[in-house]
Amino acid sequence: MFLTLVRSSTVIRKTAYSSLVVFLAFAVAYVPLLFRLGYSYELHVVSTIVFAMLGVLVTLGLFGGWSEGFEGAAEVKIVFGVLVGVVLLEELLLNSVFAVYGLALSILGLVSLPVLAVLLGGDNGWLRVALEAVALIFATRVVLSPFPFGFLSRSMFLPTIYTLILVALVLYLTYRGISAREVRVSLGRRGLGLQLGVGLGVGLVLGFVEYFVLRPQPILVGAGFLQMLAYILIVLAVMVGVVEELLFRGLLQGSLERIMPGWQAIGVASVMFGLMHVGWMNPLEVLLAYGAGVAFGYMATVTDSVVAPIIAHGFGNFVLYLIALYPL
Amino acid sequence: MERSLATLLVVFALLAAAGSLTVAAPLFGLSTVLGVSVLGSSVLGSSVLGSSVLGSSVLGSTTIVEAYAGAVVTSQLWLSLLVIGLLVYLELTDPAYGGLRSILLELRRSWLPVSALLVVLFFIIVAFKVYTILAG
Repeated sequence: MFLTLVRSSTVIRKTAYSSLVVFLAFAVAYVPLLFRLGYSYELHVVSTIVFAMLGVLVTLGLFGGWSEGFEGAAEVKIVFGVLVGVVLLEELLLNSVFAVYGLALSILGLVSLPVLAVLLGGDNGWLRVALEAVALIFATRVVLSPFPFGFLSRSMFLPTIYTLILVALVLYLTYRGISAREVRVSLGRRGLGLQLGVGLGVGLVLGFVEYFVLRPQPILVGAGFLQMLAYILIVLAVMVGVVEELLFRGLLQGSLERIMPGWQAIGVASVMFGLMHVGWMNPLEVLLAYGAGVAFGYMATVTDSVVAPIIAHGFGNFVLYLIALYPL
Repeated sequence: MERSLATLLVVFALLAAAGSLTVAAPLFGLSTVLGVSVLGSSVLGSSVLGSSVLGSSVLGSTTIVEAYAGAVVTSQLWLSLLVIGLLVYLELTDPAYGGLRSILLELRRSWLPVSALLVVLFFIIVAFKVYTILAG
């Protein structure tokens, strides 16, 4: 227990330092960019690239000395630095008029990363899993492909997509023989009440902050209040929270922690998580998602469970869209 | 399959059914981290952005929606070809044939989950095509 706390506190310190550096450096770069480019698509693209570079530099480069003791640490850092770049490119393309190239890159990532896992993984099983986890991130884009644009109703779209992703995730875990415990599907080592309380608290703050960043319109316009509430609760809170946390905190971060220090694993998973929010077309949302990823990742590490991150993520979404129903 | 993961799948199937029953206007898509992308002008063009600058004047929601719709159609062709290629590879590297290099077998094992996922997506593509034809 004592060793766990000491280990956690080291992770806390290094995670806090590195994420603070990313936030401050981004702020320093963002303000002149905003003045130079105005609130435009160019600002979104450039600031996202700046964010990704800062994330990789700080997490995998600047504090490199903190990763000693891990076999092949330098090679692993280079590989995941490059992969962050590929995710960045794929997301920017997918959310532009060059969407076809974004989808092509997703498909390429999904097929080529298992090859890379064979070539680089060797006897390092967790390196293989980490690379295949990134392939699963690309899979979350590829599963959009079968659905013709405009075919599914709004209420059908997310449940369909997220169920497909969960099926892929569960089948992958089963195929690889990875236990639920290894991806933190458990009640963890802290009290459930504490996890619930922290999760709700973080989710509440996150939902409010995200609302002011995004100011989304209420969803399901025209439906009754109870239907909207049910949709927000079932789909946006539970389904989105569970799948995204299982993928990013459970599988990706969990596998990265076996091949690099905990704080770096949190950092890499959070940078990728932030980049997956490029579709919102809001420069600050990417940074906010990174910050949320760091908080979720830290909670997952300390509790050794995805329960608290799922509650925080789900409740954050719930608060966000509940406020959207009654704009402040 | 572990009981906890199997339970999660069953719960999700029920939640998906419940979520689908919440009737909504026939507008689809919502940009979240995994269900992202360009999914309707009300999301991309105005509601998400907070400011209409990005959505309307720079990207032009119609342009990007058209690009995305075209990308989906093209990617369906790629996926179908990829499925055929992977299935051929899986057949050719069947261990029953014997005499295969270990790296080919490793690759086979690594590609199996991807192939399974792509086959599922392929059947969804086919189902939609058939439905579209039948619906005229």
